[in-house]
Amino acid sequence: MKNHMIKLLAFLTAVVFAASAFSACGVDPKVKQEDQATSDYKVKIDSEDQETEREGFYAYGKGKTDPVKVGDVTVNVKDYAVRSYELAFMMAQKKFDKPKDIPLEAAVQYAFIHVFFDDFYTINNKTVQYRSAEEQQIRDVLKTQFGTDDFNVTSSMLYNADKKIFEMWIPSYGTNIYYNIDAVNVSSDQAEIITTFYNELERKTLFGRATLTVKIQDGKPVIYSLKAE
Amino acid sequence: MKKILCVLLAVFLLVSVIPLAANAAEGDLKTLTINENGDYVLDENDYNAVDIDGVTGKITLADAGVFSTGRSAIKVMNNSDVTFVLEGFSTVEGDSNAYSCGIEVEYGSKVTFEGQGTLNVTGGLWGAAIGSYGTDRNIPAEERVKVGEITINSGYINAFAGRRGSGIGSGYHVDANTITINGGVIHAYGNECGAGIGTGYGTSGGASGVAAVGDYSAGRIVINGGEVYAATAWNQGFDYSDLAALNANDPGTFAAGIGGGYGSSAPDIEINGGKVVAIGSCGGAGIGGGRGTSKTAQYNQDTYTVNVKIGGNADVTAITANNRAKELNSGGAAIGSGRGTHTGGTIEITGNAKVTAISATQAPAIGASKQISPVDGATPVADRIVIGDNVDLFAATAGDYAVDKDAATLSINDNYFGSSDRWFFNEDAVAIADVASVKVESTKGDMTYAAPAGTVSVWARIKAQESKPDEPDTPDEPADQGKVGLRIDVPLKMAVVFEDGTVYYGGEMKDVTVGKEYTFQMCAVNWDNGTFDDDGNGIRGTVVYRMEVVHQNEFNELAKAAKEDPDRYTVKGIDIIDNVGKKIIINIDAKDTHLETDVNNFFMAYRFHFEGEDYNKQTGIKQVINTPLESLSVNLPLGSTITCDAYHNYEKVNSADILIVNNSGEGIYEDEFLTSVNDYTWK
Repeated sequence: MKNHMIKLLAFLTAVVFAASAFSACGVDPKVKQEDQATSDYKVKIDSEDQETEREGFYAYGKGKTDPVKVGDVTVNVKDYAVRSYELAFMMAQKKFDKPKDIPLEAAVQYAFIHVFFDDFYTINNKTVQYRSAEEQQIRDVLKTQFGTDDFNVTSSMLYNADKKIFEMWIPSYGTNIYYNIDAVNVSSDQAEIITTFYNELERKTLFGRATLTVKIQDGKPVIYSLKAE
Repeated sequence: MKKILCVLLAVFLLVSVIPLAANAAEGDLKTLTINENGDYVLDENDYNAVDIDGVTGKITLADAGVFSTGRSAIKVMNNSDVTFVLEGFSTVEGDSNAYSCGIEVEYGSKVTFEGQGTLNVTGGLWGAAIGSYGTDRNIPAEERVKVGEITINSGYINAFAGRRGSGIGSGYHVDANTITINGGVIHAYGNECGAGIGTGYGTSGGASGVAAVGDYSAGRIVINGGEVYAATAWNQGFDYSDLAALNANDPGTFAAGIGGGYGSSAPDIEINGGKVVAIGSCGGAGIGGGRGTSKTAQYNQDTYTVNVKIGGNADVTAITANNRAKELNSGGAAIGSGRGTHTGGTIEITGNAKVTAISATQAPAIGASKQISPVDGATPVADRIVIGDNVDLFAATAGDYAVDKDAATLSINDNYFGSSDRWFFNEDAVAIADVASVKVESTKGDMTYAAPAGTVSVWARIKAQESKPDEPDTPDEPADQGKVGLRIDVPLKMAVVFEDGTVYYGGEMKDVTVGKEYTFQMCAVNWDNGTFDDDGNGIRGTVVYRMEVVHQNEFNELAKAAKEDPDRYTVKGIDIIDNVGKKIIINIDAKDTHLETDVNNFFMAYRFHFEGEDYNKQTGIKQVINTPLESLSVNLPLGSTITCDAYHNYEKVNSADILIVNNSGEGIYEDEFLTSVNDYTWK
């Protein structure tokens, strides 16, 4: 019996030592990680939130990351790869065939955050962060991002009809995004951006895939459809 | 070596105090006996009977199913004192062919219901859903069973009586006891002469061969909060979600919505808060007595006399339905006594109560039935009626008086009402048609009750007295701007975070300044450690909520204003909810004052399913449920995006991201009572 106890203790001790060793070999999270395979990473931190930053998060892009021309319009495919990540995995919208198909709450919340932040993944709040926005600000983002503001935005749960403003506690979406743009299919009026996302910098395990269609509308690129898994 | 043994011993002791999960083996249904104090879990395994024998402790019903044969499904006995914690969706059913209950509470025992889950409970033959079963009507009084004490603090409880039982209370020919409701959402349906909440069918009301009556005590019913919908029904075949059908159907129930069953004596009823909707019919009051007896020999005035007190900030709707043409002349009052009683008893409506009382019979809305007294053949009158200055009352009747003007004692502030006949004047038909419709909002959907055409001839509307600007402040009104303590209540496994980042869990106190507005957010905690923080425990919602505490006087003013705009404001007990401004105004001077976030505007409960298979509830949610659990639904804050993993036999088989919004699930509302719950199904 005593021998069993000693073996159990030894096992537990080994586990503790192993965990300690693993931790000691870990990387200081404050040290920026760069993908040695490519310099095509992106760093963007909203200046207004510098004081709330703990450590930065980054989007590491590889593959066909160069901008493409759709007609005369330049489409920055890296930005749209990140947009597809935000919509599919941060707003849980895996599929829409046209902007109007996006559920109201997802559209409004997505637009609200983009009133203040270019990218979700940089938002790294230590604590609650309150923001408010005017209706027109929400509509402007919807038009810029999707080419339409045909949403009944004031029926959103983020709208305070008493104060006539949109309000939100900004979540801490901060995360590293590791992606590879597999293909960019360009036609006369749209670009289809096919992106694979990974769980780690080494791109060993699959996180998800997204196909985002960007259309040119009034001389500007807008998000039109998305299919992700 | 001693140290090693000590470590192992400590581990053993730690494990040994983990609450026991009382699981029946898979396969055949089993009978479970719990006879030692402690905390237990009845999970999704099904049982055919559970005995709780002399136990003090907590019993969690987590997606449990108890389906009995020949007896009550759950029997609480031998001076047990147990708290049922409701998680998920549990079903408990007595045997419709045997004298039994869903949950039988033996006299001397106590049960309390807590938690945020749902319980559907059905009584057996002659039995209450929760309470006592029935006994033969000729058994001497001293040999009849009684029911123990029942308290409901929270949860979603749908109680369907068996034949001749009450929804919550006693069964056929059985004395009731104390029933206390402090919170939760309760739908209680009596059956075949049983009250929704109160007593079951007492006697035959004068049929031949029946033992003398007068020994049925309905005990005491106290409602301090929550939402309570209570009706008397007939073989569960009558749909009270369609109140208009009351006028066209014949449920023949003879019982009160809250109070006495047919031939049962009237209880003492005290409603201090919450929202209450009660429907009686066929001589039974909405709130008060059931239909009594026409036989002098079978009448006992002490036990048939009703005492109804409504006060605080209670929001009460009481209806006595005209569902039998012949009952029109002999119906029960909306609030007061049923047909076949000698007196309307005492009815006190005070405080800031809002009361809507509709009698579709010739009884007054508030007072005594006008059927002749079984004692002296005279027309009964109420002993005492008091309607306080700040009461907001609407009363309508097909009879002559909205309020029983012949009550032995009638106390209404004449100065306030201007003239004493304000509450019994006649109106023209157009006006009557306009005011005799009552919209009842319930968790089963809004219901509209329209009194039968041509039957409602009298109505009264009594509004709270306007405060005079030159009146001095109430002496005991605190004028300070200092801080006061406010209890923060949260839904299960959730926390509240205020704008300064302070996290509050359920029951914790927060110092707040009267008149100051606070903003807060709802968060889900990590189930493993009950914690919310910014280091991976729990998840935040995005919707901004506000709260403000005020003193009684200001609350009264705000409540009056709020009632003028019911689409925007919900006046609920100690709270005024501004649905437009997403703000809660709390009366800090009220009894048991607290921030109440336990409504669906603050969170959404999710259930998870696999399509094509039996429900597999082993689900993990990133930062919330790290270890797959089988007891779901999960309360999640609105606006959050969760990553939810599906497991089959503890093997992860799928993953999904879900944005949590109101009714954002896939719309499988299999249970009509659970419209606040979203379903997510993996296909």
